Amino acid sequence: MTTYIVRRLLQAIPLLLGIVTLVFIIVHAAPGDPTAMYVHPGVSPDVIEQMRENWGLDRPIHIQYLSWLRSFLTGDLGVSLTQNRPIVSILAERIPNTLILSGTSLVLIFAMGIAIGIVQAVRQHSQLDHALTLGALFIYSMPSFWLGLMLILILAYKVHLLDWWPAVLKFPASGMTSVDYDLMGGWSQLGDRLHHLVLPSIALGVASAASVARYMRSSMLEVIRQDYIRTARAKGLPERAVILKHALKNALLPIVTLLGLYIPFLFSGAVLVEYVFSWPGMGRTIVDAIYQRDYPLVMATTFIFAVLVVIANLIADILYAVVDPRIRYE
Amino acid sequence: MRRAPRFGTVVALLLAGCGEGGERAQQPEFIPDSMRHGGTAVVAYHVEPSSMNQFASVDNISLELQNFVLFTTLIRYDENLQPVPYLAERWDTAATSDGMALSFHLHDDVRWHDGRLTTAHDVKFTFERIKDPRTAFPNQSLLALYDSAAVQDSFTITFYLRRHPGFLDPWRRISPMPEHVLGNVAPSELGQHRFGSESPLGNGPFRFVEHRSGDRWVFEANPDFPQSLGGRPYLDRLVYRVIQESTTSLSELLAGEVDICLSVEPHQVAEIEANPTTRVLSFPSLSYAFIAWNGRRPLFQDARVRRALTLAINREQIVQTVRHGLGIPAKGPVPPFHWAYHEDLKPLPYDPDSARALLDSAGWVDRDGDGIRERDVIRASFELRTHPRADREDIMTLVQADLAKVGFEVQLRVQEAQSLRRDITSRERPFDAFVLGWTADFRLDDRILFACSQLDAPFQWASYCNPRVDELLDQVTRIEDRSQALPLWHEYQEILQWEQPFTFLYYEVRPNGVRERIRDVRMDARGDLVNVNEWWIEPAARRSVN
Repeated sequence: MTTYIVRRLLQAIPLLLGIVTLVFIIVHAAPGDPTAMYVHPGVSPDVIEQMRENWGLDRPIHIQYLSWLRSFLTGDLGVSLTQNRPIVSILAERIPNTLILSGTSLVLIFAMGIAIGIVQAVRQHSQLDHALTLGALFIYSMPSFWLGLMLILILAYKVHLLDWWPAVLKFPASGMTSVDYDLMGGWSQLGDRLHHLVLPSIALGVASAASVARYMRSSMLEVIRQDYIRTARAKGLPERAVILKHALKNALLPIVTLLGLYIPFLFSGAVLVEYVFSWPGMGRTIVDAIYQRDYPLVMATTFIFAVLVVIANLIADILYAVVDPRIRYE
Repeated sequence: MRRAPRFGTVVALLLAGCGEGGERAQQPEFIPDSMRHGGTAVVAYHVEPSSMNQFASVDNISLELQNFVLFTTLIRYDENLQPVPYLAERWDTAATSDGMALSFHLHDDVRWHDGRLTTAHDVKFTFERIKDPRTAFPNQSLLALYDSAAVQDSFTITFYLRRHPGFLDPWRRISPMPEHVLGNVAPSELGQHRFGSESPLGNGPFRFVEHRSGDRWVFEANPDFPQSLGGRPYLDRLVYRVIQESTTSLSELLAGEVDICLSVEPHQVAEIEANPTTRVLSFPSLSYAFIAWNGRRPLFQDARVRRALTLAINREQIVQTVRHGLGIPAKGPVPPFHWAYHEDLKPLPYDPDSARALLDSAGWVDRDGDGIRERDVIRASFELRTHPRADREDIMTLVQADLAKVGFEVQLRVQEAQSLRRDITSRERPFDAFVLGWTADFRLDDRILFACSQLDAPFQWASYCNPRVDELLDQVTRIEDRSQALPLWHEYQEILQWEQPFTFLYYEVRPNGVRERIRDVRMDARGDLVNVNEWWIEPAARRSVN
């Protein structure tokens, strides 16, 4: 297993190098450059030239690439040209925020999806099954940013107009913490953070939860028709144990592979959801960096996203081996 | 739906000085000065300020936070845009052989937030770094008139410069930076120094507390801010939050999480007005929207054609539908906030019939009956561009429909901002016409837009050249007495209205959403935060922290 992990990690190196090289070429091929935001009637062309010199943009593109690569390989990600600060400190602020949001969503996706899928499979063709199918399809078809706006409109604004609505269900529409966060006590701080997580993680995760529920339902249906389930029932086990102990583990196999698929999906979804909820994460950083042609920041953020996706896929493969003893990695 | 405020009321509000919320302002019960202190005000805007470092940033909100919150400028403008003392308690001027000497006498009790005094050496340091080309300070041209600086004593500095009516203007825009913090930083590294985003040290009414990138900047009141500059601000804390999505910031404003929402969408104004806890403060900003006609294209070379284009565009309709009334149909490049604005000039009306007659007389006639005019072999057909922004795209659609009625064929193209900028500023001018916004300056100088000498420069989009306009634009930079310059400014606006190098669409009125609990908020073209040190919150309505 260890050799497998090491091999996968080694394989990832050329992949990541290829990705950053491709991104470097694409972002430099896009019209404009980071000085464009300074192009203004009051700004003389000499100043712009000086800036390009200070930032090393006056050198030929292959030299820029090699010099970027050299400092990148030595662990120096450079300085953001738009935020005027070291990229390492930007990433240190932003990566945890995105991981918190997508991690919460991930838990939500699988917990909700699996639970709903099981219920539907066990009560196949019941009214409840049809209702949940309809609900899942409805939610699945909603774009996350639109769902986010609707959640804000209803749960962060309209309910403020109702006196009888409990305060804990009036959610904040933006940010990770309240304005007075620093003045709160420990438990209130935790509560405040969770309160801020509710709407964005629902917006980010609920559509995927709906699709997990669909997968879970069909996978479960397949499993409970197997002979060993019939055997389990025949020997008199309660239905609850049959489903949760015997059927669930096998039904989960195809679901675990979804994990590897959903993590990249979550990161790209985070771009929109972070925008709508003003969540200070990586998604917004990368989009702003691209618009402003902040080359070093674009490179660093795409690299981080690529690494996260590679790691996520690796975890999914390892998990696959854990739940399915038939899979052996040499 | 509530009606959007009508153009007339908006203007009336503006002329009244855009104070507290127009007719909605109720007379507040009197609250003594001592009880006004305290509370946190939250300001939200969709732009992340790039830096608190004067040497780096150019975006407006960074400048406002620097000049009104964290630092102090030497002078300020009052409501009439007349310079008044601020960090400099007074100044005097003397003529020299080749220009003038300008001496600022600084207050001797303004301290950096680490306790050191702000002195003339800080001013000189800032001046020299700005002038140093290695710093690549974006707005170097601000000090183009300035040659050198000499420190007379700790609180007196003298500048030597060439004469210009706006010679003081740079000093309402530049805040001195602390030499004892940044003095040892190499000029080429100043712009990106961590001072700007992680540890700014100011000398203004508020101190820096915290910056979380993409999220917020937190400032707290500076209790030692000298009385002569306004003293300690009433607010305890000022939090600036970045909220990009306008629907999100609106719901935060209405739900009470945000106190001031800068630049709300025009279509949100009615809802903010309808809510009893919020109001809208609007004022004419420095910006106007326009269509530039590329004068190198045969179609746009005749002033009669350009005038016909303007007559054919229903600008009042654009203001009503795109801006929900928050705009003033424009008559030229001088916005209404400016003293040189031509009050008596009437904007060109919406008059498609006159437009048709003008086009006929200019030789543009539809000969083949396809609905599109032509002259010789040239068809009256062109491409109109803009960058991706909902209001600009709406404007294009309305213009296309209006111009179709008088025989123009307009193709629309929405182009990514940077690639559009590359096209319009390139020497070849590979465009026909575009819709964009322009932000005027207090020290108005339109030579860059319309002077013959600029024909090959990046901003002479119209390729417009009129020797009389050149003469006027040069003269107004030499006359210090406003009343003498005014007739020249008026003539300039009259000529431009006749020749229409641009179609000036509207002057923008900027709506800001404000919660009623925040008192004494004044906003105008000088800035949204211009009197932030005077804002206060009703004691009963302050946030409670558990």
